[in-house]
Amino acid sequence: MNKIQIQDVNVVLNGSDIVNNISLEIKKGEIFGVIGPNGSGKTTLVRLLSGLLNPNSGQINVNDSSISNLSAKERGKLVAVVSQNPEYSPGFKVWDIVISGRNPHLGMIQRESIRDVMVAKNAMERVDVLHLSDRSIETLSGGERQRVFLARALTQESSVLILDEPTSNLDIGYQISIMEYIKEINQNSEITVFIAIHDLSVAGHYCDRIALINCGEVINIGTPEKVLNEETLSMIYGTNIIIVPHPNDASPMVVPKFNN
Amino acid sequence: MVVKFQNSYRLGNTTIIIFFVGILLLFSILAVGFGSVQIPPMSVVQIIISKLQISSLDQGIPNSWVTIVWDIRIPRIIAAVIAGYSLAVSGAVYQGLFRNPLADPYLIGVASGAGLGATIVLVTDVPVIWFGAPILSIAAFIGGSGAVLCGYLISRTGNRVSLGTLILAGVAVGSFSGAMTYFLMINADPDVKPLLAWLMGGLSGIEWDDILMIIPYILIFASIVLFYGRTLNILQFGEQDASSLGVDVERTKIILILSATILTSFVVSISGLIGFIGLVAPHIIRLLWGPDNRFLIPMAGIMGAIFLLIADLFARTIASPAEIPVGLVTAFLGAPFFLYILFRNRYQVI
Repeated sequence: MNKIQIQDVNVVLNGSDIVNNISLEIKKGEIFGVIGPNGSGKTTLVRLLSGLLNPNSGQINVNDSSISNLSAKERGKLVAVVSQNPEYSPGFKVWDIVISGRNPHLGMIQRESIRDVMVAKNAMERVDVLHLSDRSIETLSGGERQRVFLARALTQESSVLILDEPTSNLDIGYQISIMEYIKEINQNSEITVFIAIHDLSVAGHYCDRIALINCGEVINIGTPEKVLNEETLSMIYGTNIIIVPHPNDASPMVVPKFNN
Repeated sequence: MVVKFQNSYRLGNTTIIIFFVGILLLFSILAVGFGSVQIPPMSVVQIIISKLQISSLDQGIPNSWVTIVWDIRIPRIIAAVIAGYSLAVSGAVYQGLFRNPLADPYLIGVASGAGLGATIVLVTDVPVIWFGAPILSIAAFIGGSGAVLCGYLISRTGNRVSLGTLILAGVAVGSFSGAMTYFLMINADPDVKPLLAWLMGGLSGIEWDDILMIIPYILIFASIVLFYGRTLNILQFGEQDASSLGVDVERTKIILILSATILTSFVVSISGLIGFIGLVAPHIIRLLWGPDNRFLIPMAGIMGAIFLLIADLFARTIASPAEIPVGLVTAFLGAPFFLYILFRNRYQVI
């Protein structure tokens, strides 16, 4: 059974095609990466899957239910999203932010139960932010903040996790650490992960399958070894690219071919 | 590492709220006794108890005291509490909804719009109450809604409300409504003094009928807003993330803008324009206890009620036997506080 089905989806904004007849099937429990140049439609795809944008035509199903027919609460139980630059207001405590991930499970006047608190605490432990509980969100570093929003998404206990550029604005240490957390979550909780990502080598190492998109169309789809090939990437990104095997595990490393 | 069990809404918060409700009650009773005729608090309590028909009146209390307490001062004190609570709660809601610390019902033009709506009813032959419907308050609500919609639509770009534009649009809408209001008043009656005193925020002359006209609506919408604390907290993450977290953003915005605008407009229809309560009260609560809207909304309301009670006490005693409009008192204290907030936030781009 396929977890996420995107069928013949089109999005037109201000008269131009942002997403052009895309069809994708994402399997249960895999880490699926979407790569492509700036403006290729990655974020639009994320917003479609999050149910924040309805396609002009086509169908998006998560666990066999159409995402656009769900209420916000039902959607929040099924799909958790970490957006590219999560917004926040200064003064809010890390704990208050993480526990708000329980909102889809709570009624209007219902208070958080002990179980809700435990779910949030477990999530915080898994991404190592429990010790930051009482800190104000604006006092954290970029990497810590990204982990707080990851913890909030885990607190939703959804079966699908969607991440938009989770490693952008992070240094290499935080980049790898956030990807390791995502991998651990994917393996131990059987959460399906859909990830839009710029860093092609990181995508090559962590994703089970990758879709390369450009101008709202799928160019190539499959394993990292299949999708990350020199000829296609060089053409799409408009610069000469070479692929070298990583010294440790031979996963494809994407590096530019400098001119001199 | 041992981490203590913590609930996000601490039990202590309920205690703080109950404590300040107690202070509000105490202040209210003291304020009823205060004025050109001083009446001891115990007599005030006795008069209230006898009027509620719990026990009969003590022989030692003169009838004139009963009239002063029950017919003149208590309606006025209740009006101050209702108005202070409603304006502060609307301020907290607008600030949370627009994610703008300066969004006060006065500054974003809602109060002036409501004033214009109410003035149109007052200077024409339209009845103030018609078959039990509070036409005056509804007209104020229509004016207030027009103002907030105008400011909101102008300042909205994509999914965000531009912080500066909202206030600037509010100033423009407020000035326009104010000019229209003055024009209508002068046109209707060259001696504009009574209307002008109402417009500048006056609680004098408020009667039980005024209170009974608006209180059902105030209770309903003040209660609705209380349930939206957690949702308002989640809206601080922006509309997209709030939607991902299970919030029906469009419905929530409509309910909250409607509630805050009704609270503001209905209060304006009986008390005129009272500025800065909606700005000062929520800010003080934020400075003391942080921005959690579950606590902020009720607590700002209680603080607003206490402020307006004190401001009204100044208004009716400082130039006794004359009265100054309570709106002048709140502006006198609130405007410097507004400048202080601007100064504190001067490194942020507004």
